Amino acid sequence: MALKIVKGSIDRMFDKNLQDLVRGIRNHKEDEAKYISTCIDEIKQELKQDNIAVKANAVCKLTYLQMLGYDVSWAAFNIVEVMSSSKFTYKRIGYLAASQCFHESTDVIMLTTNQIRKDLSSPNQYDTGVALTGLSCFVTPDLARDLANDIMTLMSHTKPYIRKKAVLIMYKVFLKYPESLRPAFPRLKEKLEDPDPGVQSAAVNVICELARRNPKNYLSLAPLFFKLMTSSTNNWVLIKIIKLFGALTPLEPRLGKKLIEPLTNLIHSTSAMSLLYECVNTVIAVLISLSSGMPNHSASIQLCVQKLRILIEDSDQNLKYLGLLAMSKILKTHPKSVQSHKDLILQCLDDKDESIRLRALDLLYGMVSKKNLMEIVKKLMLHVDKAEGTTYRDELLTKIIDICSQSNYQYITNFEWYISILVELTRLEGTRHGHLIASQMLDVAIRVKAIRGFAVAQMATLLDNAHLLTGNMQRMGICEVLYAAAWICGEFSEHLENPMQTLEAMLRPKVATLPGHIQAVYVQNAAKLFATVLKSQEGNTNSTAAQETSQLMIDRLPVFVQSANLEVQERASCILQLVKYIQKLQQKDVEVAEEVSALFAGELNPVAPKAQKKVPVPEGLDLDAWINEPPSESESEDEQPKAIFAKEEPKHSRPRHTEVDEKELARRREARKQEQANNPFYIKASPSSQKVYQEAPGVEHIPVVHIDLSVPLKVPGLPMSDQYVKLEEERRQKERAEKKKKEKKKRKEKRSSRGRKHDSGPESEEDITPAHMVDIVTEEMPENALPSDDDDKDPNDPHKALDIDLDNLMESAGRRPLADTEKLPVRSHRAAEAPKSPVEDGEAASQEPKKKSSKEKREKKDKDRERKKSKEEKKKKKKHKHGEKEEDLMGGQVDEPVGQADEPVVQSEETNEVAEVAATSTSAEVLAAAAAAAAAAEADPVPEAASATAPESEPDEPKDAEVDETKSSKHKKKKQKKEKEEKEKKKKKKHHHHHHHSDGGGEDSVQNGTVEEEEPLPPMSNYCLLAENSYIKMMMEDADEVYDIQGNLQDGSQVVVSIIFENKCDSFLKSMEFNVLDSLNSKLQRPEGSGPHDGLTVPFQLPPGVSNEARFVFTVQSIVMQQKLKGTLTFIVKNEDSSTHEKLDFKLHFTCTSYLITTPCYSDAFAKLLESGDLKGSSVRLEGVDMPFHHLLARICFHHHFSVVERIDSCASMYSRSIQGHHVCLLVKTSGQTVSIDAKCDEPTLLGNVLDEIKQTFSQC
Amino acid sequence: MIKFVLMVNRQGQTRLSRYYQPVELSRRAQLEADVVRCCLSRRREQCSFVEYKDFKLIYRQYAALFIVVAVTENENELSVYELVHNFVEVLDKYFSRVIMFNLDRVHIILDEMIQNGHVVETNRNRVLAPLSALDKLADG
Repeated sequence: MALKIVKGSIDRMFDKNLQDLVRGIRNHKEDEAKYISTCIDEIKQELKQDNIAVKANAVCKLTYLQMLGYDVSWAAFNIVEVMSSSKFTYKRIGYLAASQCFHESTDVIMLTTNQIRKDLSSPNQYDTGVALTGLSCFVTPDLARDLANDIMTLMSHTKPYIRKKAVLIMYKVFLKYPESLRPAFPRLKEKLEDPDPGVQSAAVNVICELARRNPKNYLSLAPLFFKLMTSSTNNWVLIKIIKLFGALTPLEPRLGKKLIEPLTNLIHSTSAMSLLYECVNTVIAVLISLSSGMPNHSASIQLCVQKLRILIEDSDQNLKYLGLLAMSKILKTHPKSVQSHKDLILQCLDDKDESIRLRALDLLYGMVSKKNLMEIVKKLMLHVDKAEGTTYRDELLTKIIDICSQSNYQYITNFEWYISILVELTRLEGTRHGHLIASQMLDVAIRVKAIRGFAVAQMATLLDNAHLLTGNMQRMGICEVLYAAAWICGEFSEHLENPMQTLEAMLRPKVATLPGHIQAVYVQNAAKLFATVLKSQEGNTNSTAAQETSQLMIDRLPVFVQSANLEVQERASCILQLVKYIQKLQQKDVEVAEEVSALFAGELNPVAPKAQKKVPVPEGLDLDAWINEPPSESESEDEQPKAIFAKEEPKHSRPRHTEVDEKELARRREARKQEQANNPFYIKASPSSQKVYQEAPGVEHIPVVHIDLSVPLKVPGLPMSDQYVKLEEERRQKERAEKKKKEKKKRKEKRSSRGRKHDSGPESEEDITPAHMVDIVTEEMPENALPSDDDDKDPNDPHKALDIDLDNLMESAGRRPLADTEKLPVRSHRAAEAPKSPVEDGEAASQEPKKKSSKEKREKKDKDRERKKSKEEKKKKKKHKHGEKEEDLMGGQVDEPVGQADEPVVQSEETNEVAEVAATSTSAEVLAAAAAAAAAAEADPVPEAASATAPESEPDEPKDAEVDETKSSKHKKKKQKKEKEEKEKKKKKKHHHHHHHSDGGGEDSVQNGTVEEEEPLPPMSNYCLLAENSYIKMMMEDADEVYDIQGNLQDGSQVVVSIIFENKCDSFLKSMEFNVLDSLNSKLQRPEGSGPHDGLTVPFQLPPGVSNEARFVFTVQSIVMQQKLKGTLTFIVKNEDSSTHEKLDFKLHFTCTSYLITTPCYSDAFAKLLESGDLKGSSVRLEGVDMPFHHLLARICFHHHFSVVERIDSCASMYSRSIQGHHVCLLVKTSGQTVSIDAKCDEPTLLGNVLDEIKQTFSQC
Repeated sequence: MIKFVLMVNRQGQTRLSRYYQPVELSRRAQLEADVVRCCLSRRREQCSFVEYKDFKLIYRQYAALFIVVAVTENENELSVYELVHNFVEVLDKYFSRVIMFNLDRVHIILDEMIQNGHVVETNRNRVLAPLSALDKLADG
């Protein structure tokens, strides 16, 4: 029986799937948390099972729980397990869970790299699809770097389903690993013209997203996009493209002009509202970017405005909203076109939807002019009266103030009117914006001198009726106005008609119910008023009146002296004592008024908001220095809440209670955090969220006492702003009439002379003259103010890293092509497809017939000879130019085999030169020269070859199997080889203008002991040929700085060698194994478990003509000596009918130089290093070096990875560092043809070898 | 681009969530609560676009189900509004029963339509292709 129960429960446990879980949670509403915790326990049990189906089910349930907010990070490893299931049904569950739960800091992600790579290359498109989808959610910088190549390959997958996903995820990869952008871009661009619309759309999406942040780099794509825009019928794509154009036009106004027409066509023709909206938006953006005053574009604006009007008039609230939104954009540049639709926008103020009303308000803000300000504000005031809900009313209030005060009160012609508006606003019920009104009152009264008299009168009335304002608690917000009123009355009391009455009003006992800071202002300003009153009364020689005033003060002030507010109390008691003293003096008939008012003499001027910022920092004051000891780091242990999408102000942590033991506190806090973290329903407090809650429309139901405003609360003596509208109207009419008169007169005069030219059009802005002399007092700035500092862009923006120049990728001539360092890297032994530059593509297409395998042997024979030759040749090469056609013909067939062996040297030389020039010089000029040289090296041969090889290739054919080669570089090689032989024979010297820095350029390759050197890659490359036969070509990159930067610095004993394998035959190459005979010092890193003699499988196969790159890691014990490693590559050549085993031997050569990293060093650090005395010296002398000094330095820098610290005339100090941290310092001096190098290093053997290598370098030239 | 997609019921309980920009688990509950409150408190006659912090919310109501999509400032609101409807139509076509119990499938559909915060596919048949392949796999 018991067994049965157990069995039953186990069954149930297995049976509970997602559906049961969802149902179960619904059925346990009361004890949901408890139910879920039992479920989680069950899931934990299930995860322990070996059955993958059970595990997948458990993970599926976890995904749901995670969505509910439960932390399931503990199951991360199980998720990985399910991901790696071979069945798609489970795999997708795993990936779904991973995409929901994993994030950058999930550590198990590292384990997934290989699994994802496997899935990406799965034959099942859905496996690949699910992996891509998942990856887009949890890609990390590491994953991005490791998988960039795989994803890039998928961009050219045969199935559009995969292509479109791969294209989209590249965006994430770019973000995480910006270096991938340049190599991947050509292919991405290619996808814009993909036959599948889905892929096209994906590519458009990615490029739009990229271009949005760094538009300038994508300008060159504009023609392509233009084509797409006019041809595509997919609205999704069109919207994106049009959006992209919106981002591009500000940078290229010509583009804008071209766009207007197709866009207006679309606006006319499309029935899709979303597309229409986008077009209108972009047309607006285009017109904004175009210089204003283009008459023929007013039609476009009119069209937009008309279409928007249709949107706004639509009954669909969404369209209405968007119409208003777009309208506000037009407003910025073409306010006049929008202003004619004022009625429509004012109508929107009555809309049921608050967001629409707010949009309409925004629009009104920009629509005001001197002419219509009063009218608009009047309408708004009506809405204020009608508005329900304080939120919207407050919004209206702030908008009114914003509208009026914008651009320094630009549109206000009558400040009396504005003051009365402000006074009217004080009658608002329960507004929170009393302080806003108050600050406006203060601002206007202070800055507009002409209005002070009026303002003071109004404020006095306000003070008089203060009981209205303080009547009930709900009005507390508005009582802030009294602060302004009291201050204005006090400060400008000379304008008061009846100061005595105001003084009395300010000293009423009820004032004591006001907030402290207002009372303080009351007390202080009562004193100012008192001074004014005394002055006027003493003038009357009526001493009793003055004494009565003093008595009034003495009677009323004690209330304030007893105030709980410190400031009120202090001010009140001071003033009370003062008045008592004055009273004594008055009793002695002393005239005091002058002296009392002297207390408050002097005018207060406003200070500019930026004034503080502009105060120059006095010399010797360091604002960043700590005044006290900086607080210890532990104090910041309180986690700062991370922003969701935007940055938020960090919450201030509360001061600690020191009574409680620190540790105990920390423990408790930890426990509480844990508890809160596990409880998804605990809403973590953040200041912003609270605010949002308050402002949410949800609070609208709070009852608000509504006063029927049909009987407005008219305070006697307060002006109604309405009357000003009328007055203003009259005034303007009068003015106009006068003007017309004048104009008529003028016209008459003019007619007599020039005839009718001026027509008095409708009243323009400038015609309206302000009613008052408006002299807005400018704000004060400190003396010698600093120029304003602009805010910088957010340095954390990930898109900053993607600001990469992409134009140069496409066309090689004269531009910066992809450098090898930019290749998508492949870690350690992994495979990667080397991104192809156009040149390479051509190369890869070339094929060599199989029978040429004899060449290999020949090469070996020729090896030694060739080496010597190459040296010789280099000496000459520097002064030689490419041979001419007839030379080719002469030398071409004489020495074929030798030439064959030699030819690559020439080419590598050339590219090295170019690379060197670029590497050692920063001047743009030289770079341009390098680019030109590159162009010469890569592009020129095509036409040249066409002429040069045409006659020559025919005789070649029978002899040489290479005739089939069509690629340009081969032609070039031949040419060069022949050329060189030619030179050897004829010693003909021709100077090549590109080559003057190039003396002896090929040493690197020689040092590397390679059989053949060839450099078919674009210039600036560090690759050199390692070995080659008819099947395959191996090119090795010097184990140099590229890798050291990539992390081997920390791990000083690793050298990464990357090798490009290129299939040269027309058969399939597979099962490639790379093996190296380890030496004691250097070992190839092999995967765990394999023996020391096992080869490494190259993780890819090579179809004909394809090249790919793999990297191999070596551990090096000591770096003080040169290393040579012998290795073999074995592979199978697979034909349709047969397959043969082949092998290729090679020798890897690590020079000491290759362990050096170019490290910049400052001269002071350099001097210190030399002074330290830890370094041992050595020196070398080079004779017969015939080159300019800067070429010599450049050569050392490039070939030996040094950097120049300082150079004085013919003497320079240089520095470099080894991967194990040895310092190498050089002092290079030259006189005539002798160069002496004094060197210091903390490792004498290393130094000796490096010097030998340097010597070798120069002995070769 | 799209920042996240939420499906919530009228009570404000999250039925499905998909984030295209990582948000910490601890912040999600709060964010979702905020967002849902923003949308649910709006009346029928109000427009479907809400400005929230530095992004925009676009929501649509289907019976008791709310679908809320958060997008960046530069996204075309109307197109996303249409996308939501498209999504619901696909769901309608595929599910005869309550979708609540087949959330993983809803995820598949969503992933087919939106990836990486961008629209990948809107054709109903193509969206459902992987699902029908999966169903065949399960049946077979």
